[in-house]
Amino acid sequence: MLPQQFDYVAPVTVEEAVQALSATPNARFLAGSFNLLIDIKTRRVAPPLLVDLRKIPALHGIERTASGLRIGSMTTLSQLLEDEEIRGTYVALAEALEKTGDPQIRNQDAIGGHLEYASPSSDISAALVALGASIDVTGPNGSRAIPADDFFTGLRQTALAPGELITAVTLPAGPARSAYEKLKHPAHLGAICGVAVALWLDGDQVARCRLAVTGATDHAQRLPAAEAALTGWPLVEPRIAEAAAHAADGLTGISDLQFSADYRLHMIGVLLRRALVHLRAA
Amino acid sequence: MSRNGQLHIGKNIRRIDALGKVTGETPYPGDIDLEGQLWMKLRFSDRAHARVVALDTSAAEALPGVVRIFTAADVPNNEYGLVTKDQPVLCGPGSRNPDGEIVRCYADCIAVVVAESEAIAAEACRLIQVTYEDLPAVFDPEEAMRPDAPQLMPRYPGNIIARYRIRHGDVESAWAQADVIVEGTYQTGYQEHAYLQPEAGLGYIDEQGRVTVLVAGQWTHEDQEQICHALDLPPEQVRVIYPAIGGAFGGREDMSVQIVLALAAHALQRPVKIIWSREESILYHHKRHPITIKTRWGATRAGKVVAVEAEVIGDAGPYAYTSPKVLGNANLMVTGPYEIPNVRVDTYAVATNNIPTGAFRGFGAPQGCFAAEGQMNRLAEALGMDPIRLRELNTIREGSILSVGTPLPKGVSMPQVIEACARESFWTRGPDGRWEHPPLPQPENPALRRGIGFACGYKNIGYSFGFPEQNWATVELYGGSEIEQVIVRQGGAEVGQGAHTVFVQMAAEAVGVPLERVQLITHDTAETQTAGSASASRLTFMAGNAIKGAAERALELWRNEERPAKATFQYRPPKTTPYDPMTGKSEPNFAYGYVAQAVEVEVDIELGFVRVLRVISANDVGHAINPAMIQGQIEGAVVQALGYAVMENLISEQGRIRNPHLSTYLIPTVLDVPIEVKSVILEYADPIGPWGARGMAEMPFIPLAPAIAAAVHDATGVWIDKLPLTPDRVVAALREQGVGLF
Ligand SMILES: Cc1cc2nc3c(=O)[nH]c(=O)nc-3n(C[C@H](O)[C@H](O)[C@H](O)COP(=O)(O)OP(=O)(O)OC[C@H]3O[C@@H](n4cnc5c(N)ncnc54)[C@H](O)[C@@H]3O)c2cc1C
Repeated sequence: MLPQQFDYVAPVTVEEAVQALSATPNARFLAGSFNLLIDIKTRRVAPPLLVDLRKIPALHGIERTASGLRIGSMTTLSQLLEDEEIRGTYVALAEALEKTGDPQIRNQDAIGGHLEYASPSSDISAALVALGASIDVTGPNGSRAIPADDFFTGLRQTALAPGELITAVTLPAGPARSAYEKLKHPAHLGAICGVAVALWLDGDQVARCRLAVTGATDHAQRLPAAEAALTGWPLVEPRIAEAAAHAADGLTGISDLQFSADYRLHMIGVLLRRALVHLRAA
Repeated sequence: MSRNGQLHIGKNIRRIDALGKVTGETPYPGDIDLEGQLWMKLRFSDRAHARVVALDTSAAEALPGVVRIFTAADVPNNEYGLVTKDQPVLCGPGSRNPDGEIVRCYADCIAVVVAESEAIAAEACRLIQVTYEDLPAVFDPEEAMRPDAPQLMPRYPGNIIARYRIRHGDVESAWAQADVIVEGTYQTGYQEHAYLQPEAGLGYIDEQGRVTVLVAGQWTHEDQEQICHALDLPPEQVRVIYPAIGGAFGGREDMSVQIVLALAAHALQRPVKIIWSREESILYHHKRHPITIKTRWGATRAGKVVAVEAEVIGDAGPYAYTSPKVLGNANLMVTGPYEIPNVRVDTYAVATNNIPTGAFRGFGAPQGCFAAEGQMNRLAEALGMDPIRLRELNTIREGSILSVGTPLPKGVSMPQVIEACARESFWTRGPDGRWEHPPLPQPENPALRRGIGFACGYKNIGYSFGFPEQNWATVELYGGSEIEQVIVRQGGAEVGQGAHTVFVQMAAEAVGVPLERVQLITHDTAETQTAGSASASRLTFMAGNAIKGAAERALELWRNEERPAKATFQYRPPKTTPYDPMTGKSEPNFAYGYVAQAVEVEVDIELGFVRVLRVISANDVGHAINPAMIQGQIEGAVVQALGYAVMENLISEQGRIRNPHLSTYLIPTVLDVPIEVKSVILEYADPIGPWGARGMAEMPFIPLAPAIAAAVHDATGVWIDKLPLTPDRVVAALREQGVGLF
């Protein structure tokens, strides 16, 4: 199907982009275009104007900061995957990136577009929640930072206000160990269920941990019951089993025609266990 | 020269259609256009069961570019169907046939729109206003059998489209001899044919004024017959031609676009074209039958099966299609390839408001086999006996009496096929004659468990139960002192299986000329006589015998100096007979093919994914006319059956298919194909097959699902009796039995 006609602009600053978007009702930012063009072609959306973000230098690149890492929102998933520090320090993110789609998808997708789309089967969203990332945005009313924990709010829903542009993702100092386990959907490659784990250790004790799920629930979120089961204990089999058994407590699962909510919720425990066993061995 | 001094058969001759297909030059129905052609789109039902009380086509007709809208009133004889003409061509007011205004499923068609472009036709379809009066619907076959269920059609009282009984021996008293009894309820799902080429066609008037339909089907003359019936035209005025056919698997046995294309071309005297989308193809052509089988098997301690009881209930959808035949076959197959002295089977093809079901590779045998082999594998476990040994003790052999009270046709090779499969896979015969297999190496990852499974089966070649069976061929020899050209007229459909190459090989062999001298004329009712369908694994057998017969007669004329020498031959195999309604006594078939399969699977006991690692498929093909193509059929059938067993999950809710796309109805891709598929080709000649050949294309589909279920049991200790074994189902079953790491 051919897309409906639309106008196109490619500004070079964040301010121009935000302005251009606000000036035209229903206009959309364009990043890697994978989701947006499909939605336009299948008539799910019909934006009169696309504001292409690719020409804005401020949105590109990865910067080291005093506290961690700042990732421009137009950085592609492939660029992230090539980054030494991400591979070395933010292992859960690197593993989630590696397991996202295929090279063609990763070469084109920008982290900002990915996050705004807030697909329930997104891999990196769980990793970003576990790693305690925050999302920097700029809108008609100024700039703010939204913790990843609060960014995803529902099925394809985010905390972004109308007109807000994702400018960057910032990562705090990395955890001692982290990992991402995924069960891949055979048709669309996204996560049927994905679990990201970040552990801060004190000797062999888990001093602090952040666990997050994607795929099984309508948006990426923490696993508080499992976190409580691990915190303050060494990473031993009974604690791992306890965490896995309670991983899905209080969560509502989502389903599609192939994979039921029951199945997906059960997978949270399975994958959490796999990630923890793997980290213990590491 | 091959083994028996043959020139062309038994050889891997390159397919005559290969080059055109791989280069894209060969046209399929959707690729063909004619000048001045119009486009057709069909408006289907929006209800599972309703009376169409009014149809308003005025807005659609007013759309610029709309040429004509056909409704029920325009169909001269508004009924069609392969075994029973029980379905309206178009449902709606004004039908000349009784109850023609009732839709009984979502696949019923209401109107045909013909327009200047496909987009206009589609838009006009949407503009047609249909007023329905809903009727009570029934979607569960067991509910449909209850006395208070809504009745779908007066001709099927109690919603029973067909029922069969087998009463053999004395089952009641036989239970007393059984030391071990196993019971099970086996459920199989729908399967979509998912052929590469969705339905398409072109209707036009040919140079002789005949209504002509270019389409992909499985039997030109049957399509012609059904068009003639619905349009009330004599056969001379209707012509059916098949260009290349993009797969069929039974899914093109029933009509899709044939009748409506003929109707429109005839009325408008202009070419009319239609191409279905993948979604339309999945929504509107029939599927493999979901069948529920409740069954009970008893055996002596020594391993002899003494009694079997089974109830077989198949969901037919509202119309017969080939259901009476498919369930007839399941009725026979549900006791497996075993000689069992006491058998009672009750089989029902039940009308519901779901999508119609019909022919699909295996034709009722895969469902019957799933239950029979599931029971055999459970018996082996209950008896503590090797599954190969148990089969050896019970297998049909030369002279065995079937459940229908008559002996099998000669040439029974089931024991040899079982033995070959066991030897070529995991088993060896120990010094004491017992079968044994070494323990399977297990992966280090404790979540991954490997297991092996075995199953076997058999299936008829050619039509069963008294259905008239024939195939016509003509051989024409041209030349002077030597035969320079051979023209073979043979209508058998090349659905991708390689039939036409085999026809040419057999013709060249029979006449004794190089392959290049043979030219095949086919796929055209104006040029050939009936061949019967490309189904029931019958074409090599039937067309081979017909070609051989015609060639022998033509050669005789040639020797008598006739130039050209032309002979036509009709091959008719030995007669079969229908089931006796009370006892099932019959001579159901004239030939069979035999198959056994062993598989190795790896189950992720946490994620529930079943990976099929290795399949060893032993098939008695009688005589391999073209071994490479047989290997292709085995590998293709294995992959298709793997999809059936572990992936393909067509979901129907209230008669509506929920996943009519290949993104939501998952079929195997290259990543799902086993690491190894070993084709073991056995050649025990069929006494009446051409050069001893048997049909084989369905057989490697049949035992795979029960072999996989047995391997999953071997890996996990859990039996799962419902197909497909999706991850969801496997995890639920394992958790119920407490299997898993967490
Ligand atoms: C075949 C295939 C396989 C895939 N497999 C996976 C997988 O395995 N795992 C996975 O997680 N994902 C997968 N995806 C999803 C893929 O990662 C998404 O398509 C991608 O994340 C979208 O990013 P994009 O840059 O193309 O965004 P676009 O399509 O350009 O934009 C998406 C949305 O974000 C908005 N937007 C873009 N940039 C910004 C910004 N800076 N600020 C605010 N709003 C913005 C747009 O207006 C639009 O609404 C797959 C996709 C495909 C097509």
